[in-house]
Amino acid sequence: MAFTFVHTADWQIGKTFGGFPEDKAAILKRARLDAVARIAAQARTKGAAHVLVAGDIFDAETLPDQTLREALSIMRKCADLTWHLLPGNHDPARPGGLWQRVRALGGPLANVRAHDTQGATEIAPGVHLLAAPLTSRAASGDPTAWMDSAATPEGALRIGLAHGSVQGFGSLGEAAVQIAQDRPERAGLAYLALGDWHGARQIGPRVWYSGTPEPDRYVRNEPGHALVVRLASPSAAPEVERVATAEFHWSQRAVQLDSLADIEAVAVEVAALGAASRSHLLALELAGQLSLAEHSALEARLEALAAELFWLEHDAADLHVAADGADQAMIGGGVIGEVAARLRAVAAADDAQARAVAELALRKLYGYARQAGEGRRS
Amino acid sequence: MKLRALRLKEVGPFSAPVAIEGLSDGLNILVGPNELGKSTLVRALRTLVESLHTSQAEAVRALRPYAGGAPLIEADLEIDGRLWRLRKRYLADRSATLATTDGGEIYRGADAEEHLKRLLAPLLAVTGLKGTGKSAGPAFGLVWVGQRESLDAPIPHDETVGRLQAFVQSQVEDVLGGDRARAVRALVEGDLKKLTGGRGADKPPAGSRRERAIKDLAAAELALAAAQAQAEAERQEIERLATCIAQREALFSPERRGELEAAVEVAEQGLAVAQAAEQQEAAAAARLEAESLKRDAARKALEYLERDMADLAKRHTQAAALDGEIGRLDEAATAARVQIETASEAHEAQRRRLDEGRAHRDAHARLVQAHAVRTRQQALEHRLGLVRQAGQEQARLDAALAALPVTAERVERARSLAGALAVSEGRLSAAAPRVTVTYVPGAGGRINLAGRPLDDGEELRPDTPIRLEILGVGTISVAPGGGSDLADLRHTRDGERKALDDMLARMTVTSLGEAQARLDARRDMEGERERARATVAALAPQGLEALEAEHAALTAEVSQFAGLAPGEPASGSADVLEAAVTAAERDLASRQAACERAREGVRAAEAALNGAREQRQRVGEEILQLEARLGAPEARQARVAELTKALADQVAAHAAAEREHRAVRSQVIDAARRREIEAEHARARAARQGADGRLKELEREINQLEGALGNRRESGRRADLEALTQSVRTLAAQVAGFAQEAAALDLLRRTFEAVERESRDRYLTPIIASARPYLTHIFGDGTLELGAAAEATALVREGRAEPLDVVSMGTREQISILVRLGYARYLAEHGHAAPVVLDDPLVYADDRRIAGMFAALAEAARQHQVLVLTCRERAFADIAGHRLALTPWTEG
Repeated sequence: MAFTFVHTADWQIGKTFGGFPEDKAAILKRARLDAVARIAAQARTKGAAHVLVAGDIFDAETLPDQTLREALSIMRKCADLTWHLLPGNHDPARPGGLWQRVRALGGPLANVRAHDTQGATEIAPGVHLLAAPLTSRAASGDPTAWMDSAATPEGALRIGLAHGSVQGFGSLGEAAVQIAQDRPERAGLAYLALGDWHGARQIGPRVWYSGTPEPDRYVRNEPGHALVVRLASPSAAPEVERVATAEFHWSQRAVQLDSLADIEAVAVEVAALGAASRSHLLALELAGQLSLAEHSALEARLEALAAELFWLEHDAADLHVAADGADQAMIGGGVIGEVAARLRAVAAADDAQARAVAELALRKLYGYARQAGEGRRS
Repeated sequence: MKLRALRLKEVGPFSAPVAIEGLSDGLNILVGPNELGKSTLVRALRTLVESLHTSQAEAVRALRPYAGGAPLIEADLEIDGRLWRLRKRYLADRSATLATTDGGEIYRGADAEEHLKRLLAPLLAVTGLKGTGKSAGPAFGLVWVGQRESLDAPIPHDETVGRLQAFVQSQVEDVLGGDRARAVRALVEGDLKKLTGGRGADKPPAGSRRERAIKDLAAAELALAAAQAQAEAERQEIERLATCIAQREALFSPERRGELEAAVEVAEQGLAVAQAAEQQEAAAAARLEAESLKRDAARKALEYLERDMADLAKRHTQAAALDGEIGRLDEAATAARVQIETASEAHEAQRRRLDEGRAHRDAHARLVQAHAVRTRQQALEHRLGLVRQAGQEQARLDAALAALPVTAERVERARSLAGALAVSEGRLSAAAPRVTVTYVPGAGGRINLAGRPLDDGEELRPDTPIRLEILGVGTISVAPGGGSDLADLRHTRDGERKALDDMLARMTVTSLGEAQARLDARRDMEGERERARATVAALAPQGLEALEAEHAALTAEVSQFAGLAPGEPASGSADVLEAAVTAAERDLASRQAACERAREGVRAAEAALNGAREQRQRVGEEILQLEARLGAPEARQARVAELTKALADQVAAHAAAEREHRAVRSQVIDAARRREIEAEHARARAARQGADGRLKELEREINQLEGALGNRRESGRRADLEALTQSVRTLAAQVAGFAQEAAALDLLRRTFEAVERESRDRYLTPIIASARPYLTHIFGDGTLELGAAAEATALVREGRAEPLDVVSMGTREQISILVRLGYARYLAEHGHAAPVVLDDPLVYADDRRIAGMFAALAEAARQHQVLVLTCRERAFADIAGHRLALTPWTEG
């Protein structure tokens, strides 16, 4: 009766990355397809013949057929594995919708099964998969409620497959679908495989989100995994193992800058990544206060750091500037000094917008003063 | 600095070395005529402090005397309490020496120039002098005023402004940057222009990064909106497709289709049952109707036979009644004809009596007519006689008048000629000599004229020459005077006389009186003729012939009554005869009416008789027809019995059909139920038909949606919402960044402007304050407005600014000098006293103003040294000050 399978979800194949340059966006998009092959490799490694995909296999219902074909082709080539695909809120099972096209494109695929109608299916001897596909972007009720009364042979291993948010778990996912946290107990499920929450997380003794196999945003919920689940019996606690599947790593980091040297800690971390830094995306949230000279140097330092990573972006909304003695000396006295003094006074105001403008004016003044000084020297 | 002495040799117009010595601390005045060389002194002083002794500048060469030479200029300058002698020789024999007068320090050549520069540096910094000799700008330009320069408002050139500004700023211990600040300011303005289009604008220049970003953002927003709309349309299409497919599945499943077909079948069956019952009822009703017709036909056949038999009996009765009526009417007609004959006879007798009356009346009337004609004939004959008599008289008078030559016209003409002749003769007589014969006693008759002795006292007026013969004495010829007038008069008189004689001859008279008598007789004859003519006209207005014709007609009429006895008929007989005729006519009319009434009675009687006879004939014909139709009397009863039996048979058959019809009609479904069945049938068919239509619609819509979705997916134009959203965010951030940068630059610009404005105000205010005391002497409470370059731009009086380029020449000149005094005062108050040098000032000042200007100069001289060079000896006679003189200089 022991049954081992891979639990994964939220592939969102076809997702675009509009905030990136075209070349990088294309790479990130391709990585989501490649993740399927990595999942297959993990399944083989772990001895799982079935892969349960808990919704959002595709990013949109309107993806071109070619994208669908590519995904199906990858799965078809893994003939030793059976892929159980569940429609989620991104790719709901509608009459005439995406899954109808999948059937039309894929033909009779023995190893790719689209569970686009709710019901129990015996996927292996004594193992029944209770699939709860979504038929729209939002469901009015709990799509797993029917599992409580779903008939399966006595002693069968019942595995639930669903997509949505778990009640009481907070607003975790994207889908406006609420699933009872105690569904396994109510429905006699040995395991409830969920999708929608892009991070890997255990919700209950028998309830897990696998998360997305390939991260697509800066979140701190441990994306980039699949779960290898081993069920010894219907009553035995599931044995769940996380396996890494991601190519790219997205990380966010808050950096307090009290001097230019503080950015060096980040540089050290990037350097420590070695070659992996080329598949690393980093978002810095800069805060603190620098002198005008330091702020000017920071920009150059960040440009150098960006060259080491796949992608670097930063938010400097909370990073402020203040003219120190050296700055004031460089700016000098006279009219420029007086102007700088007045801008400092404005920058000290509570009004955030006025402060931002004044600080920028101060930085500009610093740059102009330095430029004028260089001009005079030359 | 103070100037104590100035000495020149081989300079300009001066043929011999000259000097002005002993300048005081205050006001120094050098008065001299034109071409004395005053302006040369000022130029020499400027050259000395401005130009290196090695200079070959035009200003230097211009100082060379006309005869040639090397200009030598020497000045004693008191600087910071020490007296220095500065001596420079230019051009051919150039040299420079700077030494204290006490001999403590002495510098030569370049050292002298360098030390001079150091000595004057603080002062030159604020008066515009560079001290290198390379500058073309006026040294001490703010306080040294050349000839005619006093007309211009002092406008410190840029460097001077900067230095003056720097000086002022240094006084307020707030030194603001100069060139560097301007460079920064220029960078700010440059970048701001790139972002906003320039000062005060917010329109990014075409092609600028900001403009491109704004355009890109607008385009991206449009693309995003379009993509969102497309995505929304796509979403709606997907949902609609799902809905359509679900509807197709739900509404057109085999079960649903079977239900629709079954409903139609049930409804059709119900309708068929209803229709069969209705058809049976219709057949029974048709049979009942046929039996009714046959029954009614039998009944009518019997009724017709019985009616004909009754009609025959009725016709026989009518025939008997008509025969009696005819007999009575025939008798009445005969009696009426007898009445006609009686009335006709009476009428004829009366008619004869009327004819007799009428004959009597007509005979009497003829007698009356004959009498009247004869009477008229007699009257006419009398009148005819009178007319004929008057006609004869008229003819006689016409002949007599025609024979008379005297007419009124001729008499009148003769009378006119006689008048004219009398006038002519009168005039001749007046012109003729008067000869009066007077005899002496005893001589009477001895004087003859043409043989006629003249009477005593006879007066002659000869108009032609006459000869008087005095018997025994001789003759006296008397001739009237000659002349053409008299001859004309005489000729006229002769003509008039001849005409008169001719006229009298034509009338066969000899005098005018005879002519008048004959004319009177003529007029009497004419009167008689008129009377005869009037008689004829009155009695025979139509003429004599008409009267004679009338008479002939009457004569003929009278002849008609020839047989009747003449005489007048008796009066009153005509009325009696007429009355008798009238009465007879009335009686005849009465009898005529009686005859007509009798005839009418005959016609009525005959008409009634004829009508009765015709009716009797018709009844007879009908009797014959009925008898022919009914046959013999014995066959008629058999026919009645036959028809009676046939009717009974038809009544029985009809009753049977009626029973059958009632039985069938009870099976017919009532109308309400029938309508329900029809409605059910229609609904079932409509449901099936609607389902077919809806299915077609759904399939068409599904096909369309699938096609549209497929096309959109495969067209490759699928809008990448996330990419577009990110692009909009990125561009919006970029635009916002530019806006923030523009705001920052604008803040920078405004801050710069504020700082500069405040700075300028700080240094201009004390300058204006320094000039204020001097302005008071001329303009009372007036003050100045200074521009950004510290130049005077307007005079403000009573709150009103008067631009200097519109004030009078005199005012402008005065302000120019007063402002310079203000600058000098300001510098002096801050330890940088410099002499004010005025070359030929106050050219345009009136007496009052010049007094005020003297007061200002006197006051200024208490602050610093003032040197005035002027040619206006009288005008400057009243100003207090140290008088200078140009003296020969013996070079020491």
